[in-house]
Amino acid sequence: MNLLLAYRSYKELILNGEIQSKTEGEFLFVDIRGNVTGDMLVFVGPKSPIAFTEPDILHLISIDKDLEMLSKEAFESLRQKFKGLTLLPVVLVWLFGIGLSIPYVFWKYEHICAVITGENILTGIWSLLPLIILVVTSYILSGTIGFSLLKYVISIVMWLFRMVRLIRNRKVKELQG
Amino acid sequence: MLFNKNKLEEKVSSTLYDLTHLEINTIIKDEMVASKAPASPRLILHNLASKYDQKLKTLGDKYKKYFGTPLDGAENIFRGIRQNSGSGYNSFKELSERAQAAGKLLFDNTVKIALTEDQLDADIMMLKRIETISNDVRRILTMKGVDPCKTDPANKDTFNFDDPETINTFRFMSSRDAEQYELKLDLRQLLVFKKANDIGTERVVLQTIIGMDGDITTRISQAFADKPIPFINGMHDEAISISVKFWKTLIRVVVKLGERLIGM
Repeated sequence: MNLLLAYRSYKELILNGEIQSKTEGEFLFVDIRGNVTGDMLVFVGPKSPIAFTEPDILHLISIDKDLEMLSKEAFESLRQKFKGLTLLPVVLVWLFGIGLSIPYVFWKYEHICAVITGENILTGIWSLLPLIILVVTSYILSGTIGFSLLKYVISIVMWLFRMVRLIRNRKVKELQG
Repeated sequence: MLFNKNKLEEKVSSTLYDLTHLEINTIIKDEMVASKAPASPRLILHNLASKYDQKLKTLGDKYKKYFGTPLDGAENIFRGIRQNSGSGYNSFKELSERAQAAGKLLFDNTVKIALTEDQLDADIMMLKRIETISNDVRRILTMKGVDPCKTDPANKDTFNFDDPETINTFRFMSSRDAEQYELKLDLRQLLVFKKANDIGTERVVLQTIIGMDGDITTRISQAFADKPIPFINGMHDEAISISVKFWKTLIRVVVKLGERLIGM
């Protein structure tokens, strides 16, 4: 769930350069946008495309009953998205750790089984030590390492997006002759 | 040379500014814009130039009765005769100069204009915004490596983005073809363009700037200060709270990275 939230936040940030949360009341809309440095823009405006004067909008704010409650939900949604931005680096480190652990577990399978079954506990614990160090390091330094890793992951994702776009465009052009 | 010293210095100082300052703006829009902002920096700039062009015309029409018809034969007193109606360097130079001249005209004739001081100030501030942001855009466009059409002699003449026809051609290009004429911006430069386009010519009713040195500045528009609305104040507070919380996380990460780099 949290990973999905983080993925959505980063996807939005990469595609739009900002994260956004929007809601609509009876007469007005609230549009909140935040960027990666934490700067925020809050827009309040009429739902209809007709131009209103500022006093009219202020009057609409006072009579739009749902707007206050809905805007709280929009802020909560944005808060979760910002939380997602800080979550992904941590998750990345854990995934990286799991990726390293799986081959190791296969390699030391017998020794790890020995710990579980109670035979040759000392050798088993010695074999488990790298895994324990990996878990502790991930726990303590996940935020810091994660942000460094993220830079490379984002570069790869952006490169993939560009490649997909180029391939797709070429197909369209070929179809047009 | 491996890197450009001035560019590096500018990048470091701008990144430091971003990390040490937060800006929260609350804006009341007078109408809903149904179209989504474009993703292409060239088209974002074109949107922005159109908004500024339109605002100069609207303000020119508003003050026409005080200054009469322009002597140079232009339709609009503030916009003047349009020489560049695209969104390249010269277009923003023109917008900046027109906004500066219009602001000066208003400032020098405050007695002549039958409007309240607040109304007049709001319009002068809007013109100042057009001038400042246009100059910021120009500064970015002149940076090394940003505009591929500027440096490539083959593209310089054929792809002149001060000409609206070039924008139209660019708009209908495939991504692959458009890529070679697209502006090469770093994240911060893109954010400057996006923010300028998002705010456009809307009126900012509340603005809070928080500096890490402890300075907090809040600007409130006069009209809003006279009749504050608790709902708007509440939303602005909420935005500040989210922003500060995210900022704390960012700073914590930067500090941790710093600690790791110097081996603490």
